[in-house]
Amino acid sequence: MTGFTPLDDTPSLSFVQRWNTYLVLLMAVGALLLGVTLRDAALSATQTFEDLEAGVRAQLPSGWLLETGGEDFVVRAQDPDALPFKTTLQIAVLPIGPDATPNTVLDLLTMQRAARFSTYREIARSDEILRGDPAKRMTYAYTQDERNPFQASVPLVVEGVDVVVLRRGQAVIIIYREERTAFDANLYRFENLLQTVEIF
Amino acid sequence: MSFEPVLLAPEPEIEEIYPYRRVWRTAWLEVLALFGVALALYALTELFGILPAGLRDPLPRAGVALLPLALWLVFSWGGERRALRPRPGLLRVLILGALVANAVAVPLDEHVFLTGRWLPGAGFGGRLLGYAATIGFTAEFLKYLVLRYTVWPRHFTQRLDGIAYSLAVSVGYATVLNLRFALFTEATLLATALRVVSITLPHLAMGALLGFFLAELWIGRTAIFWLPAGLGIAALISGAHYAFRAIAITGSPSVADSGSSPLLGLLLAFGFVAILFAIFAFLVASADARAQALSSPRRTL
Repeated sequence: MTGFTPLDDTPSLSFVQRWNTYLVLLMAVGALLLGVTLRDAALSATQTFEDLEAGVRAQLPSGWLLETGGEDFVVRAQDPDALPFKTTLQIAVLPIGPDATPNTVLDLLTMQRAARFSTYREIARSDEILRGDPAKRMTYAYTQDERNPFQASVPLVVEGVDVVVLRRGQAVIIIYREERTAFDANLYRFENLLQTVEIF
Repeated sequence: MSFEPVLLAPEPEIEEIYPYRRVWRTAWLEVLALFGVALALYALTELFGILPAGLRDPLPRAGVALLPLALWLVFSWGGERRALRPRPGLLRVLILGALVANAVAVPLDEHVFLTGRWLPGAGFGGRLLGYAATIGFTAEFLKYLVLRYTVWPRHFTQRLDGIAYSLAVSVGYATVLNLRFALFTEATLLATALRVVSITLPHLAMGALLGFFLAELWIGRTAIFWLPAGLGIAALISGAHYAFRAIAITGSPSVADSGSSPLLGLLLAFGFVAILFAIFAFLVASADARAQALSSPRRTL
């Protein structure tokens, strides 16, 4: 009878060597969790914005540039590090008549933008509920040219989303705009804003 | 009648033949050659203006990205082939290092860790910890896996084997990152050369560290958390390099210039690898000397 000859000539490991390899695997899991936690903490860090006059409170990304009191918005937050297009979140308040609906507000916005951007195209509209109130969501796209001739480049395709909700004779419009290729990756920032926005 | 000649000079000692490749020598040659090429490109572009500053041809950039691999093939692989006892499987671990970098590390960074979106803007401590926990640990862990399931411990007969294999897997890993930078960005030739140095040299330095810890685990007497400690230290040092690099390269912007200092980044990478190579050469030598002293018969004076 011939004896069994193992094909694997790997030397057997001692107790300490075996446990070293087990602990490294545990450490890898720990490092992965730590890395993801740090990433989430950094990417989801927010600052509170509040405008008592307009009656808006929201959590906006920390480290972004905030612009308040513009002609057509209450607050606009832009990512200063984003290239080539500065990711934009915006909250606007629009006075409306008694017969206005979210759809008519979106029609108005579409007409205004079509006049500003020749390539503006509405993509879709859908119903949604924003913190218990009926709202309307519209996605659209347009191309944006660089006006400065010294920074001339290929036009950017910008994709955007508007969510319109009506409150006490005014329409609150929450907007997200991003360069098309990064649109889906940063959409969570808009969803976070929708989750935290308070209109009072 | 016999005649015994009296020697006027002592009998020449027969030098013991070292059958392996001398790892530190070839590693230093690779580091110095890479550093020298980057320095020469800097001088030719920035100081003498012989090379155009905007040179972006893909072929020279790919050539610079492949330079660490070429240097390794010439010095380490060539030296190994000339040695009496070549280390088997070196090329295999190098290729595996490249494969895990491209198949695991790069997608993990681009789709999970997203370090480019949150770490460059973080403070020093945040960058150190962030890079250590993400791409720093990932790199060292993947290199460890390659070595652990191919050549460790079968081909680890001395501590320098650990360094040799670990440097090979590090070169493969760094080559993929270099090529991705050269082929998928619009950087100039000089920027590519500087980035290749700042990618490759820290990986070589971490390779020395990982190799020492792996070899010691097999050859020496270690604690139960020896290897996790080694990987943790490697990840932290790697994170520290990223954090210091941001300070070294960015500098202090002013109205007159951007304040960026690529030369400082180059020197940082070189200083980094020089210090770690020196530390681990000393640790390997002293551990070998201690083991030899313990194994040799004791004599009473």
